[in-house]
Amino acid sequence: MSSSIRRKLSFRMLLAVLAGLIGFSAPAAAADVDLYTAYTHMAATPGQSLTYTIDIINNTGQIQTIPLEFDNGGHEGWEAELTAGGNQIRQISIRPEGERSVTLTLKVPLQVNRGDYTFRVNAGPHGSLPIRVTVVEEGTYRSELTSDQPNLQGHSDSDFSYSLKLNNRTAEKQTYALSADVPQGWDARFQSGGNNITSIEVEPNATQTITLRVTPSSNAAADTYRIPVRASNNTTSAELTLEAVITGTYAIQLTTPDERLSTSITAGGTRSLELLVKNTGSADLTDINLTSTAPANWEVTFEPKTINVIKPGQSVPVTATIKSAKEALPGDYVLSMTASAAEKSTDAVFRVTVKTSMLWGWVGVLIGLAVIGGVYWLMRKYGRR
Amino acid sequence: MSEQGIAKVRRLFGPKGAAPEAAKAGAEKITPPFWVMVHKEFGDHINSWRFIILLAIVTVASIGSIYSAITALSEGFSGSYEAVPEFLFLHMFTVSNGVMPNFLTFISFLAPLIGIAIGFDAVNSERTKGTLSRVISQPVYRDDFLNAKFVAGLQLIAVVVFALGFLVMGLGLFMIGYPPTPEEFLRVLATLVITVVYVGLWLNLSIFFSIRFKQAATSALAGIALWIFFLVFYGLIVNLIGQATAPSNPNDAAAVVAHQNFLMFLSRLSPAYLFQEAATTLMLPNTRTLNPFITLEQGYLAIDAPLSFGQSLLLIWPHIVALISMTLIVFAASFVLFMRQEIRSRS
Repeated sequence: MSSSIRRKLSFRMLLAVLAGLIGFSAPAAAADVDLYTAYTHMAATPGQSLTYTIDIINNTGQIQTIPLEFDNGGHEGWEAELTAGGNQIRQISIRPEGERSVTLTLKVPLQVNRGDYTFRVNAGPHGSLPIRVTVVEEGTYRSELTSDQPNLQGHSDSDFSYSLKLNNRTAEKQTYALSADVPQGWDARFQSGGNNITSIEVEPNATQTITLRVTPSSNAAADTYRIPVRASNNTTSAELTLEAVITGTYAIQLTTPDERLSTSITAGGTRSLELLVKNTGSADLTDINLTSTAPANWEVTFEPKTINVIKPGQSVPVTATIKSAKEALPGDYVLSMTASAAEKSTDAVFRVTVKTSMLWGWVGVLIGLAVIGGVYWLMRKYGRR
Repeated sequence: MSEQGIAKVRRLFGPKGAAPEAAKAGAEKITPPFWVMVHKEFGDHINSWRFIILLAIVTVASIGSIYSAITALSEGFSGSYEAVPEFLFLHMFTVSNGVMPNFLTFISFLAPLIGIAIGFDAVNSERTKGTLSRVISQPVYRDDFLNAKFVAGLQLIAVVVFALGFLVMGLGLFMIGYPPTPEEFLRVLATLVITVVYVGLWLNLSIFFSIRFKQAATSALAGIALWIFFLVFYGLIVNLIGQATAPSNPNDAAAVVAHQNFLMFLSRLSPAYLFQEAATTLMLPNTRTLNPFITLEQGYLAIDAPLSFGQSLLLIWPHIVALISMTLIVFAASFVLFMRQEIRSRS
C-alpha cells in the first residue's frame, strides 16, 4: 500500500522535475546554440526531394557538441538524411562563436495525402528546428496515362494521332504493355521516337511521351468512337479513354442491279434501263440529280429525276428510259449517266449497241417473195405447155 | 391425144408428178427427168475444157490473192502480239500487199466470167447442134430444160465458189495458224453465198443472151460486153455524171449530200457494185453504214467497234434482196423468152 503511494509520488515528482528542467533550460539553450535554416516552410509535390541547409550557430565561448536527429513527427514514408561533407552525421561539434552547416535531404513519399506536414530537427538539449512541408497534390503509388487532347475529329479516311503521356509515379522502374481497344477493322499503333512499339519502359517518377496513331476502317460510319487505352503490367496499370469523332464520308455509286453497263436499242426505239443509285459512304446524301450525256438527238429521261435523300448503305432504284435517234448508226454508242448529289457525284458509262430496225429486213423479204411469186406466176402462165 | 392425157395427169399430180415416170416406164424408177437433165448438164460442164481452164484461172488468182494477203499480214503485224487486229482471219480476204489485189477484188472481177462461160452457149449451141428439139421431143416439160440449165449452172458455181472460199480459208489457216472464230466463219460463209447469188446473176444473163442470140459467139460477146461495162465503164460513167451534176456551191452541205446520195444510187444499179459493197461490209465488221456521209450527230459519242454478224447482214440486206431479185427477174425474162420461142426440128 505504502509502496504504491510512494511510487505515485515519485512519478509526480519526476514529472515536476522534468517540466522544470525543460521550462528552465529552453531559453538557456536558445542562447547557447541556434539552429537556422532559411526556408522553413516549403511546398512540394509527391516524389520530390527537398534540400535544406541548416546552419548551427555556437553562441558560447566553449566548444559545443551537439547531437543531431531528425524527427519525422509520426509521418511514415518520408525519407530524411542529414549530411555534411558528404557523410551522414549524428553529432556535430562547433568551435566557440562558430557555425557549421549541415544538409537535410527530405524526400516526399509518392503515396501521400495533401496537407501540411511538420518535422523537427532535434539538437538534443540545445532545442530543435521545426520544418513544415505542404504537399500540394495527392501523391499516389500508381501510373498515370494522360493526353492533352483526347478528342480528335476527322474523316474515316484520315489518321488520328493522339499524343499520350505515361507517368510512372511508382518507386520502381516499370515496363508497361500498351493496348488500345479499337473497333473492329480499325488499326491502332503506338509509336515512340518514330518506331512502332508494344511496350515501354518508364523510370520511376518519369514521364514518357507515346504517340497513338489510329486508322479507322474506311467504311466507318459517322459517329463518336471511344477508344480505351491501357498501359499495364502485373503491378500497376493506367487507363485513358480517347475519343475519335468520324464525320462520315460521302460516296455515291451509280450502277444497274446486275452491274452490267451495256444494253442494246433499236434505232429510233426506246429502252428502259433499271439503275441503282447507291450511297456507299457513311453520311447521308441529299438532293441527288440524275443527268445524262447522250449521243445527239437521243433522249434520256429518269424516273424519278431527283432523289431527296439516301441513307448510308441504301440504294434507290431509278428507271432510265432511253430513246435513240432515228438516224443513229448501227453499232456502239457511249451513253454516260451522272448521279450528282450536293456532296458528291458519280457517273456510269454505258455502251449502247444500236440495232437496225428489222422492219426493212422484212420488207426486203417481202420484195424477194414478190419476185419469186412473179416468177412462179410466169411459170404457171408459160410453162407446161 | 395421149400427150393431152399426159398433160392432164401432170396437172393433177403437180409440177413434178408421176406422169413422166409413167411415160418413161422401163427407165430408172425414181429419178425425175428434170434431175436427169441437171446431172447430165453438170457432168458435161465438169468434163469440158472450158470449165477446167476457167477453174485454173480462178484458182491461180485465188492463190495469188492469198499470197498477197499473207505477205501483207506478216509485214503489217509481225512482232507484237497486241498489234494483231480483230477479225484477223477476215483480213485474209480483204488485205492486199499492193502488188496483187485481194481475194474479194479477184472474185468480184473474175466470178462473173465463170457465170458467163457456163451460160453463154446454154441454149443456142443445143439449138445449132439440133439437140434441143431432140430433148424437147422427149417426154419432158419444156421449161424443165431451161430450169435444168440454170440449176446445173448454179450448182456448179456453188461448188466452185465454196471450193475456192474454203481453199483460201484452209490455206490461210495453214499459213497464219490463227483459227477463225465462229462469227468470222459465218461471215465468210455468208459472203460465199452472196458470191454464188452474184455469179448466178451473170449465169442468168448469159443464158438470156444464149436464148436471144442464135450464135454462141454473139451471146458470149454480149455477156463479156456487159461484164466489161459494169466492171469498168459503169464507174467511169457515174463519175462523169457526178462531175456534170456537181452542185455549183460546194459549201451547200445539203446539196452536196443529196448529190452524193444520187451518185451512190446510180452506182448501186450495178450488180458488181452491189456485190462489192455487200462482201466488203461482211468482211469488214467495222463498217457501220454504207452512206457516203456520216453526219456529226450520228458520229457523236459513237465508238469504233465492230458490228455483230446479224447487224452487218441487216446492213446489206437490201443488197442481197436486190441481187436475188435481179437474178430472178433475169431468169424470168429468159424464161418468157424461151417459152415464146419456136423450136424446130432443124435449126
